[in-house]
Amino acid sequence: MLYSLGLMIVVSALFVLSFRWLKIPNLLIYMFAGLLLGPGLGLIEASLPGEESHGPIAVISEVGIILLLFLVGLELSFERIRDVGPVAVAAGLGQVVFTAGIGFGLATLLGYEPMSAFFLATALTFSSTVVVVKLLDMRGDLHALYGRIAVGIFLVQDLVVIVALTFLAGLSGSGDPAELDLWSISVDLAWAFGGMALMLVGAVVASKYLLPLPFRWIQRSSEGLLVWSVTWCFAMVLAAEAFSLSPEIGAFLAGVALAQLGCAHDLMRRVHPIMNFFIAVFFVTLGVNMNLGSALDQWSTAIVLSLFVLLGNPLIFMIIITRFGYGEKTSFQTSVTVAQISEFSFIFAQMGVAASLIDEPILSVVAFVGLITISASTYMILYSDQLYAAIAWTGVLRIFFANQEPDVDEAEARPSDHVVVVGMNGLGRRIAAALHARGEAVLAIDVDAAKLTDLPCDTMVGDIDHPDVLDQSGALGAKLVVSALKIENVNNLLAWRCRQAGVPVAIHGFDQSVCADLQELDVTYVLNSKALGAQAMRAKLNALEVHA
Amino acid sequence: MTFIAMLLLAAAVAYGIARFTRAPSVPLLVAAGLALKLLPIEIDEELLEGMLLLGLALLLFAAGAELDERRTRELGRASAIISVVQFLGLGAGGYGIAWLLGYPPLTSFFVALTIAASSSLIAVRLLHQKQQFFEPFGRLTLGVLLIQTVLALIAMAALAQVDQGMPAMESSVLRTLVLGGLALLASRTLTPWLLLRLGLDEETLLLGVLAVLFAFVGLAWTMELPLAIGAFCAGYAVSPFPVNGVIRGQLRSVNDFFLAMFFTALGASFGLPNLTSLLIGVGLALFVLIATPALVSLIGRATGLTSLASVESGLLLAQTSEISLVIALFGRAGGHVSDELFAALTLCAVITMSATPLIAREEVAHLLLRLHPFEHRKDEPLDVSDHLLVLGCGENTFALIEDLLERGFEVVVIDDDAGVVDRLRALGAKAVLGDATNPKILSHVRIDQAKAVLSTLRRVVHHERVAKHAKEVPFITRAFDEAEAAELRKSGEHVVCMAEITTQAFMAWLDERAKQEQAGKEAS
Repeated sequence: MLYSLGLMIVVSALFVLSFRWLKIPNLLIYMFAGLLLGPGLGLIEASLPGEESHGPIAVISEVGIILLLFLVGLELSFERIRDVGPVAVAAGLGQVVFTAGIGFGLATLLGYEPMSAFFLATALTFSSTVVVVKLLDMRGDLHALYGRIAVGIFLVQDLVVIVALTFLAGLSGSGDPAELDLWSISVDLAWAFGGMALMLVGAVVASKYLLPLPFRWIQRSSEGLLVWSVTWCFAMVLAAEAFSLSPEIGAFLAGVALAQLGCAHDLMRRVHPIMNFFIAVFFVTLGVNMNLGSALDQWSTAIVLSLFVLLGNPLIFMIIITRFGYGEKTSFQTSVTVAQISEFSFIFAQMGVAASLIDEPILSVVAFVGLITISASTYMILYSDQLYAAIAWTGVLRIFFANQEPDVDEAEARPSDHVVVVGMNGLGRRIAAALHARGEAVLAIDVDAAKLTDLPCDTMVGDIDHPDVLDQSGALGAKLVVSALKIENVNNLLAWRCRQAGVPVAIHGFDQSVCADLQELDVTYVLNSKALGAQAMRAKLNALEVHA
Repeated sequence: MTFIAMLLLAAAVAYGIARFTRAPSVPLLVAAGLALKLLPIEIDEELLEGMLLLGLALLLFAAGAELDERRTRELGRASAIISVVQFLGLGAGGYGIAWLLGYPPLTSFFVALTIAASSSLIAVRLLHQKQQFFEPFGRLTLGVLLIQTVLALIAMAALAQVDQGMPAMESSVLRTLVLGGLALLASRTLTPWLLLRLGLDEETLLLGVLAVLFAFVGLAWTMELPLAIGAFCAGYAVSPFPVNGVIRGQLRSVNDFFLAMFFTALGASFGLPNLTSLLIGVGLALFVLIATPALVSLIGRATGLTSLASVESGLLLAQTSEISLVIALFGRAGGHVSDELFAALTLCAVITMSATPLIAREEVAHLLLRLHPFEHRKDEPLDVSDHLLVLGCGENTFALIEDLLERGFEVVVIDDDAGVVDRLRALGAKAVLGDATNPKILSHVRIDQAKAVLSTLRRVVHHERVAKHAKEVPFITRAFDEAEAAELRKSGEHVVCMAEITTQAFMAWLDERAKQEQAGKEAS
């Protein structure tokens, strides 16, 4: 296992580094790496999750999918989509209906029988939350209006994914398609939907009454929090399996139940790297299992379906979003985000193969369409400003009768001109309070939520070592960063990062032995508490009138 | 999937108990894995082995990444002597016990190696919990652990070729050194370029780090070395600052997850111990718990540490290591360690790791101090009165003492560092080497006849202990924050709150900076 895993990771890393300049999302490169290692060189044989021969690599792949769905669940907070809710629901649902309908017709026209056409259409319907969120993040546009609308749409689509997966779970309950009859489908669907409803209620009840107290208790142990949350995820996965639902549904609902807790953001940051590792293995495995020969046999079909996704999906979106009065550019930039199919499409098609509902070549077509659309849409999203300018210049976009006034973008600005104070021990709390009293905009950060209570300033739970926390706190654009922590390696790294970014930084030199390194790192001010303590002791001696 | 869920559930229970009892999680994770044997679940052997291998690689990788130059440059003579003597002493004891029990020489050697080193995971956690990282004994202990890990891995390299004879063993050690050299080269060239200069996003950064790990594991495999050595060398390749810091955020969660799975899987990988393994396990554990503090406290004192620091280090090191478990696993895979002995060695690790938080305490250290041979001395009291007594002397206190001497005070200082004592004597202060909380030493320096006592000791409990002996003498101490200060004021001390004065100084600096900026703007 370690041999296969090592080969997957090393080759993927080499590929990613070699093709960085093309700005292709890593997951696409993982699949290319898998194609090379599997069908290309025959160095690795690995089964996909759902297949009968379940090796450790397949289990790792499956854990990747579970954690991915768990993270999507953790992201699903109604607060994040409230302001863009109506357009997200309309566009999300509208696109699903239109794409699925037209896709089904197109697949039928291309000669596929109804079950295959259904799977192809459904696979074309899903867009990739992971790909788009990553690209928006690369552009720094997650908080832009079009970015928020896109995220809202993807969250609605995630709900549709759940419904689609539930249907699939119900459809595949009896295993052999030949034995399917209306009654068994109804029973399976009823069992799956009943289970789904029960789990949904369970998740809601758990999020309100069962989980908050224990998770508040365990969150002071970072390893404990991580293991408890993943265990909760797997408990829900097992429950889903007991209801003949897919593990993905259990993982998603587990995430939703935890999303309402205060530790959700911290948890997302902790789970994300683990998911990245597992999901990389999944995508490489997908490549390993890709039958390129059969996909190339159907290249014309793949091209037609890809063009439909690349042009049809944005077209449908433009029609829907412009009806909500959004400006032409916002509508356009939102629309291009959906011009690809998703990793869910692969999973969905692969589940269909595993349930013997469709033939394996369909999986290859979907993978081929995925390769084409994800590659093309990556560039469409990354260069959407230039693409919009070029298309708007032709006047084609006027057919949508969009509002020509630019939208007022109410995207949350990254905090700036503020002071970030890290580590809410006795010193950190005093400094944060004193700066706040001085009229500064202060953001206090600590890994322990309990230490942030009763502070007069803004607060954030997180580990400053983590790049996400550094980014979201705006520390590298702050007026000043202060660390009161008594943890040498965290302080040194923060000092190094701040000085690289040219941000003034004051660090707690809690022991003389750490002060030399801090000076070497060129920190702006060292909070030398012990030296000041020694001076104060001398003053105290004088105050007590102790003389020689 | 059910098996993974069960492993996770066992790990979750272990973390819950660890959080509740403030006990270390490693032995609880192993015990929880062992408890899985009692449940009617089917163990997926292939997956179990996979988890063990992956967890093992990450465990050693994390250990190697701790070899930061900033930390290793502080390794002194004391760390080197203590680590080698403890490693050899405990190893010899373990070999002797195994030989007496009738095990063949090679198996006895595995037993020796298994109990020779102490646990970084346990010691680091306890030092962190008690905020004792920067106390001299904390730094010393970390140094000892790092050296022991390297020694254990070199021994493992030799053992990997033990069946092939001495030349093969020498060649294996040589190859290990070559791989270490490659890691050193990578740490200077490849990893800073890959992980810093390329400006990778988080996902690619993690991929890059894991690629370094697997590349070194692959190299070790090609060089016919155990994968543990490859993983450790990979860790060393990413250990220099700031590379180790940049990857920490990404790697921590992955490590936390796989270490939990590794130790739980380890517990689930061996059978429930029978009476023989139980007896051997308990016997070895008792040996480690008794011999380590005895050996380290004697050697520590002989290398210049104070008796208290020596005893505290000994207590903190009195457990077998996670690396020991790896070695035992390695021995079992090679057929040199039977399942029964493996269970005993794991049990020994569980017992000693669980016992460490109970014995590595102030009260136990002071109890043992009474038995320390170096403590049975009868120094005459110093001929001083109306003096200033200073307890503990860090770099910042030197300036204070110099000032006090210039002002004509007779200054007596107690410190546990021989070098500090020499410097103080050169300054003209009367300096005594020893533990400033020891009543005998306090009596020796006539604390009750002092004009005032200035205490810069690190722990609140130490201030409180000394304050009892100061009686009516004004006692000036320092506390980090208001909570500590309030605690100290209860025993009538004059307390300086460092958080308060540091905040005042910081705010004054900010005001001054703002004025300078304003002046600069006006001038331009």
